[in-house]
Amino acid sequence: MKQLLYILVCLLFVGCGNTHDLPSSYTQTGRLPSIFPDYAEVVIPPNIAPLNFMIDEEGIEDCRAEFSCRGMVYVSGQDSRVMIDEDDWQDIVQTAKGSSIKVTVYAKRSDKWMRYHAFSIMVAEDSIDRYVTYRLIPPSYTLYEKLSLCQRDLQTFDESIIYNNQMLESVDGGQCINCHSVQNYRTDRAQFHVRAEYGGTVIYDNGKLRKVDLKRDGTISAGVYPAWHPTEDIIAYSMNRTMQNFHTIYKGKVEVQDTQGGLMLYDVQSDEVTVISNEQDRLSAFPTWSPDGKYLYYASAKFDYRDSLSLMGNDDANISMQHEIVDRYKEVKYDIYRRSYHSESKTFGKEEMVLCASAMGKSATVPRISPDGRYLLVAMGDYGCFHIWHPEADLYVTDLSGDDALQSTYPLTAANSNRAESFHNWTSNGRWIIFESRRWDNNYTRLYVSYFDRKGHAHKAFQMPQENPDFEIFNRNSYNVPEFTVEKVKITPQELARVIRED
Amino acid sequence: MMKILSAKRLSMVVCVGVLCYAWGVLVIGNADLLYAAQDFSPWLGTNDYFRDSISHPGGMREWVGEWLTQLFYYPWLGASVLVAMWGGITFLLIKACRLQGGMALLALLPSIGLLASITQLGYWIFCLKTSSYWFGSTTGVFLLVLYSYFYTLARWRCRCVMFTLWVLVGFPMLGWIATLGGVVLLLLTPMPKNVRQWLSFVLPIITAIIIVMLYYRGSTDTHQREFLPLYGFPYVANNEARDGIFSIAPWGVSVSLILLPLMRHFHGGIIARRISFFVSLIVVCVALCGASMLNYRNRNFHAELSMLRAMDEGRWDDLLQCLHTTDGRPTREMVMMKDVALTQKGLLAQEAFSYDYRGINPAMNAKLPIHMVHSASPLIYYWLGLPNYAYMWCMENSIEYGLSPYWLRLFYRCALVSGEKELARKYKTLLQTTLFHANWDVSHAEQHAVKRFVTGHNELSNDGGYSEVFLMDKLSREQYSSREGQELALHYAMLMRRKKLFQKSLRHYHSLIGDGQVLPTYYQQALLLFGDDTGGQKTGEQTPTNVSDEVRAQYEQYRYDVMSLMEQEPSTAVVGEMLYGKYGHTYWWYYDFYTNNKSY
Repeated sequence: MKQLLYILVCLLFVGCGNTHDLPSSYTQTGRLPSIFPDYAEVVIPPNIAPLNFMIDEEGIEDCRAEFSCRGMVYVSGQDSRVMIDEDDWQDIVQTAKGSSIKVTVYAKRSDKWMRYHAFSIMVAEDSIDRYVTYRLIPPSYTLYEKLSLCQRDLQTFDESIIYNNQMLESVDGGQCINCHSVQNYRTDRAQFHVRAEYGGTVIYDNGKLRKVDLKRDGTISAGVYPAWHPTEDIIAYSMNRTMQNFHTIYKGKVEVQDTQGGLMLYDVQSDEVTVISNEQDRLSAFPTWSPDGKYLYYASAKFDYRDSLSLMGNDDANISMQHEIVDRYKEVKYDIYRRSYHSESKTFGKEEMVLCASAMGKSATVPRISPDGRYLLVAMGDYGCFHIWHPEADLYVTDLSGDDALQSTYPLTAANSNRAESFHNWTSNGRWIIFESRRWDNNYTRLYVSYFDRKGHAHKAFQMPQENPDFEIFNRNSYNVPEFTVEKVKITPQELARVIRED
Repeated sequence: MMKILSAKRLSMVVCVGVLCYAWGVLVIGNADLLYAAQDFSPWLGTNDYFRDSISHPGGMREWVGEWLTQLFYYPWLGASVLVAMWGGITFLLIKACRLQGGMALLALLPSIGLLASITQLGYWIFCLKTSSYWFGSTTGVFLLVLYSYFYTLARWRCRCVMFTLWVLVGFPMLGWIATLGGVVLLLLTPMPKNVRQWLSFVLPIITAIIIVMLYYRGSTDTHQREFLPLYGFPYVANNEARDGIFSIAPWGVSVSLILLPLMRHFHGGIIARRISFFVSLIVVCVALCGASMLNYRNRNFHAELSMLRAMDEGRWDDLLQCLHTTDGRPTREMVMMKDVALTQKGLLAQEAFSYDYRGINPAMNAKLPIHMVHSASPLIYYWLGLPNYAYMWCMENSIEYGLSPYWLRLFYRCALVSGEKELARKYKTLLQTTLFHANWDVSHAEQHAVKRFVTGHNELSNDGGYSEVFLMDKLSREQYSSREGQELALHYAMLMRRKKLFQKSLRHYHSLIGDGQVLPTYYQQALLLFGDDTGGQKTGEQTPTNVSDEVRAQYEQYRYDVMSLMEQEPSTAVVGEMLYGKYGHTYWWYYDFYTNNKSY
């Protein structure tokens, strides 16, 4: 028995001890290491999961990374990977809060150790909302097979499935699930759409779960892009007729276009749908509420149909409109508007222009207002609405406290890349932005987080950490529509499947 | 006694003969099918893929089956392993079920069913959603009979443990095979003699069923609409169709596996055993005939598979050679592949109409609505300089039917041609996890050959799933900077009978080849035709290139022959058939008589 205890104690010490030694002799490379994901000189929240990375260079046989901060030193690394123990990582980031971690990387190639220039990881005082929800989907165009709505705990590597379309899939056809949304960072109220088999909009309202059909008389379509009011039981939706076409050589590959787009309001309690706006020469999408709930912001493009005008009301009108949009796709430019919302009467005021992106020769979509109400965050591309397929698309902010929106609009240069960025969201404290980007390979979207400081500047974005550093190289899914929550989703996939199955 | 031994030996000889026959059917008659099977079956050596695979019942069996399918890269190797497993199944069944004398022949039935399930597949190969179809059932059945064999050797208590283990562990790993195995094990179990023995079997069954149900009700990767005990049964189906005829073979395998344990109770006399040999022989012969009838021998299908491989490997002469192995007329897909080969060889202008261009739809062996975008079109898009469209269909098909080596290679090629290096690296890394495609790469010569046809002209369009019509329309409107490219545009303008586009393209073509060059004969033929359409004024006289006197004379003769026959025979189709032998390889005949320009 004593022997057994002795062995256990020894094992415990071995397990806890830091067995990674730094090489005693090495040559200086005189440069930074090429690491994947790129975490050099990024700003991170103090409650993020370990930033595991790999050295992305040929012929690496072994490696070490030394993390040092305020006298604390931690060493990790094996093969070409640096995998950091979660508890140790928490110790490091808590120690480094408000300052930075110095990372020195050593690598062995051809049996010789090298030391690279050290880089820093700044640890901000501001924490990030613990959970992020997103849809995982292969970057397909018209078909879909396996889709899932997931929730990731950013403090750890845990990913849980909110709903998986395989649960009800049959050989006769599958479902598309999309546009998930919660109310004001909490999960007491949430919704997402189910298309095709067992279609409808699933609404979760304080423990009550139901599926509704939002296609009503007088609406162009069922609800598309959603926005829960921050406090009330109402959801604003855009109504869209959407199509896809393909570029012959353009690296954006596909163009997602609307031929019609309006706005509507859904009252969760009364199950009533009212049309907010629906004009033939306007394409509206991506509604979002101001944090105080007094304004509804949205993107809208004015597009004058020429050839299709005479056909309006006719069966051929929609086809003609599609052809016109395809032929003149570069003319479609979205601006950002808003309407005041009157809570007592549940009515909206007149439309106000917020950001005339078309005056800049740009098209702005996916407006998101910072929680303090000061900044408007948008994705801007050269044309169109679906910027996640536009390599030139970048994130811009408008300081709404300025007098001139155009003058107060600037790109988040440090966070952007030369490839597409879009579908962004703020944390509840307004200090972090999460967004999709195709920056690594131009085809698969990954999630990136950027620190947005008190001066209104974004910092270099870092890829959402994964336990296995090469996970995203092998990952065959794209991430869609990341949205922060401060708590876990409270409903199980099985409960959702049961409601969806009910016709 | 001698007679019985003879029957047993004879049975062994027949068993070996049938297995050799199966090997022959696979390797000699279906080598192209087997190669395509591994090319269109997914398997990735990544943790992620393994986790995904085993997340549903039977996932482990499927994962192993998918891995083994890779062996078809060398059809003889894959077929040998497959037939060896069938041999093992037969031998173990004889042992486990204690099949006496000639009855041993019946142990061949599952193997014959498994053979039929493979050779009957035909065009479903492109749209198969059961990724482990080729080896999955064989792997499962092999494990089942192996387990059954050891089960029969075990004592009562050990059997109870084995039975419980099978139901509990077997279901997550083997899916429907575990259910089938549960039934087989029960049938191999002697009748319990007392209540205790009864309980020792019934209780594990009930517990296992409850645990399995509870476990999988909590899973998010399990189709809750599927009948749980038969999870993973190899249905041949996709989102568009479900074909019952393909269920005959796996059901046959299942039924034979259930019936064979019952045969162990057969202990007749010598005469009965002699009869049983002949009865068994007849049953096996009937099964073989059935399997043979199900074997899809369509020569166009096999030619398409060979052409597809040749196109994939850039063996253009071999591709054209395959056109001679058709059943009469080629399919539209074969005609399209032929055009790609001629384009890449730079012979499209000279030889396009010298091959039979009267393509037909494939003769389906099933209800499957096959589309070219599921098979050759993405690769055709690639070779004709439309990597975005090739990429799009790679993505759609790989999502729906699995990320197989065929799609991975094409992904990689498209990414290279489009200059997306990081993306190319991703697919190359994934390809490197496979068994036989790890070292595959794209040559610079191939990239150059494709880039010749990538134009700088961008536009928004959509093929709507009909690649042939789309290609003809799109490429006929393109303007290329190379002679080969412009010949492609001219060819499709001719196929579309677009006079103005042809004339415009021809002027550009002339600027590319320079003055004094003689136009290919087909272009001269087209010039004469389109000239006729402009009110008798020869277009050839409007262009800087003349039509030769010989071609003019042939055309005069053609017009004369057409007019003469039309006076006698009012049906244009009949006249066309009558003239095909003499003028079938001219553009004039295509223009006047070829109307069956179907696309699918």
